[in-house]
Formats: sequence, C-alpha cells, structure tokens
Amino acid sequence: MTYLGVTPKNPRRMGWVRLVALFVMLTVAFGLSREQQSQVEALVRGTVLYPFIELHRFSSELSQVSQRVDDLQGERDSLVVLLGRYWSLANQADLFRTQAGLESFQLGSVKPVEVYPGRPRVGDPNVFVLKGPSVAQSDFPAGVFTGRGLVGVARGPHGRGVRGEFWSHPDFRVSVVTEDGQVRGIVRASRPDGGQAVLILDGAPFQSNVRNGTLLVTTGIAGVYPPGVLVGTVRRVLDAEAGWMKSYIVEPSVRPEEASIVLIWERPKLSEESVPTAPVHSLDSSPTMRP
Amino acid sequence: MNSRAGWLAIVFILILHFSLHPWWARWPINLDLMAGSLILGSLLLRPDRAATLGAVLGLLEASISLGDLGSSMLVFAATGFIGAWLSDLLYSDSPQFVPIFLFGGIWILQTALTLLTTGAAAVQSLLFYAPLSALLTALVFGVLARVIGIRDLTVFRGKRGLT
Repeated sequence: MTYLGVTPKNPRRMGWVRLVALFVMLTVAFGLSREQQSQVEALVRGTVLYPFIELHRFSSELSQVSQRVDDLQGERDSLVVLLGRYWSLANQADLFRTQAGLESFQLGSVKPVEVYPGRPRVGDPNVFVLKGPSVAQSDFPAGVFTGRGLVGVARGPHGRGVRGEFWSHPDFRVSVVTEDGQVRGIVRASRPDGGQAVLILDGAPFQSNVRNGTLLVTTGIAGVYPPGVLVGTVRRVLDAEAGWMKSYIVEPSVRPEEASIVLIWERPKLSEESVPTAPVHSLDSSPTMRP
Repeated sequence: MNSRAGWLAIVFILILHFSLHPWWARWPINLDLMAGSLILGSLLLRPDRAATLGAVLGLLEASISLGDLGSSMLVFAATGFIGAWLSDLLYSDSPQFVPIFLFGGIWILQTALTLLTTGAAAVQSLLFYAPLSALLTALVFGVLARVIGIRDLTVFRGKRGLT
C-alpha cells in the first residue's frame, strides 16, 4: 500500500501513536483551569492569530471613526455632568476628613484600554480581552467602564492583556444605589426569553418605590468598582417577592457591543489599618463555580 | 485534480474565515467556513491526521472566540476523525453525495458546539439556525468541491492509500 508514491514504514502504528498523542493533548486541554486556558489563548492570539486580530481592530476603527466622534462628545458631556455632580461633594468630604484628622479620600486612577469581545457559537460573547500599556499589572478584580457607564469587570491577566466579563455575564454582580441615595440593591444580568440581556435590580426594600427613569450608580462599597459610576436606568418593577423585597428591570447605560475603548480602574493603595480583614471583593461580582 | 489544489483551497478558506470572523459571527445563519474546510480536509486525510487537524482548528477557533479550549478541540477533532473515517467506509460516485456529506458533517458539528456552549435550551439554534447554516455552507462548498475537482468520495482514496 502506498501513500503519495511512498510506502510508509508502518502507517497503522503511526496512526495509533498520533491518536494517543491527540488524546493526551485533549486531556491536558480539558484539565486546564480558566486562567491557564486564558494564557494559552493569549499565546495563540499573540502569534498565529495576531495578523487577524490586528486586521479586525483596524477595520473596526475604520468603520467606527465617524460614530466615534459622536460617542466621544456624548462621553465628554456625561463626564462633565458626573464631575459637576460629585465635585462639590468630594470637596466637602475632603474638608470634613481634614477637620476630623483623617487622610484625604483617594479615588484611584484609570487606564484607557481597547476591548476585544468574545464571539458567539464557539466562544462566549459575555467575555472580553483588554489590551493596553502595562494593564496586566492591575489589581484584580477591577471595574471597567466608559464615560457613559459601567461595562463589566476585569478578572485576571491574559498574556500581556487582561481578561474580563461584560455586565451581561451570569457571574456579574454590582452593588448599586439610586441617585438620591435612598434605595440600595444588587444588580445582576438576565436574558428574558433568551433575548437581549438586561439588568435586574434585586434586594430593593418592599416599601421602596423606585420610579421609572431613576438612575442607578455604583456604591463602590466592595472596592471593585469606583463609587458613582452609572450602571443603568430603572424601567419597571419586575417582581415583588414574598412581601419583603422588590426587583426592577434596569436598562443598562452601556451595551457590550458599544464598548471599544474603556477605562480600567486602579483602586488606590490603602494604608494597612484601613484595609478590612474580610475579603470584601467577594461582595461584588464574585465568580461562582460553573460546570 | 490533485490534493495540492485542495489544500490551497482549504488554506485560502481558513484565511478568509479568520479575516472575516467578526462579520460571520454576527449573524445566526452564516457560512461556516471553518466547519466546511475541516470536513473537506477530512476527505484528504486519514482519520488520525484529520483528528489532529481538527484539534488544531479547534484551538484556533476557541482562541479567536475566547471560548473553552477543551470542548472546542474535542468537537473539532471528533468531527475530523469521523469525517475521514466515514469517507473511508462510504463508496459513492454520485455528484450529489459530497454536498450531502458536507451538510451532515456541518450540522452535526454546529449541533455539538451549540450543546456544549449554550446547552439544550437553544432549540431555535439547534433546529433552525444550525441546519440552515449547514445547508448554505454545503451548497457553497459543494460548488467549490466541483471547481477543485472533488466530484465524489472516491477521488482521494488512491492518494490516501485506500485503493
């Protein structure tokens, strides 16, 4: 029996060797943790797939160039409003802290990064990869947002970038408060009837009456997200559970497909006595065990 | 027709797939160039090599889509293996057989991927999007197979040592 005119030494045996090697490779691939898989994917994306990833980025920038100007103007206006809203409060807080002999309040800093979303079918459209200078040295988990609102959470390193989840991911949680500070709750993602993802505000007190159109912002209580970042707008009551809690449907302020350049938050380094002993990160967006 | 033309076509299709990936992924019914080229490749290879090709393509697809490596590699490797193994078993000189073979293979691959990533809840995807995508891809690849000279499943048997 010949193969392309050359008689192989022992094709049947070589075939079995290849199959066994493949089985070992698949077993290793199945045994990798999410973090290890992320590093392998980063290696492949940074080598074999690099030209294609760059091509996608280039074409995406070209197609968005006219829309980007409008978006940037919108983001600038939102940031001006946000700044105006909190500037006087921040000054007041600083003044009180000085009078009380406390350290001044630190907001941390942000780094601008590019978003590469996951794709449906084989991949997960609820996850993303961020690329930017020295972004992999961030402290995880860390909030990811734009001037218009919250985008998601960065989970860990992905090569020289960062991997994370959009707010539409099932593991996403963020503690929020209404603009007037009256009602607090936890926001999570939901896909009613498998359609477009929306946010659900859980845990609002039963006697509270959050009106439609109320803005929800992050509390910043767990240190994953900075305080005051817009999360969404309340649309309507979803459910009243057992007479002690209400849920609301919330329209997100930023849709995952709209995010191309985002900011990743670097929380301020706290002095040792101000760091709580309990792992407060677990309050916001704690990843759950998934099958 | 020689196998070099087949491999050139497959490499070109794969480059096209990765270049246009964000646009393919946007629509629920689309041309699945990756699945098509894998099954076309499995006609040119022995089962063990087709499985290896499938695993490599699964790794690339999972990396560009940010998906699960293990399940993606397994599904693509299994598709390559079964495609090559079935093409060894089946004898047909009908010109309609290659598109039907492609359709079946792509549908099974898409169904397996949907079950692994979304779960059985995605009934619409399993019964509507997947077969229509498979049909569209099979038609395009059926034409391509005729152009590059794969007229039936017996074409490559000699080159694969199966005469």
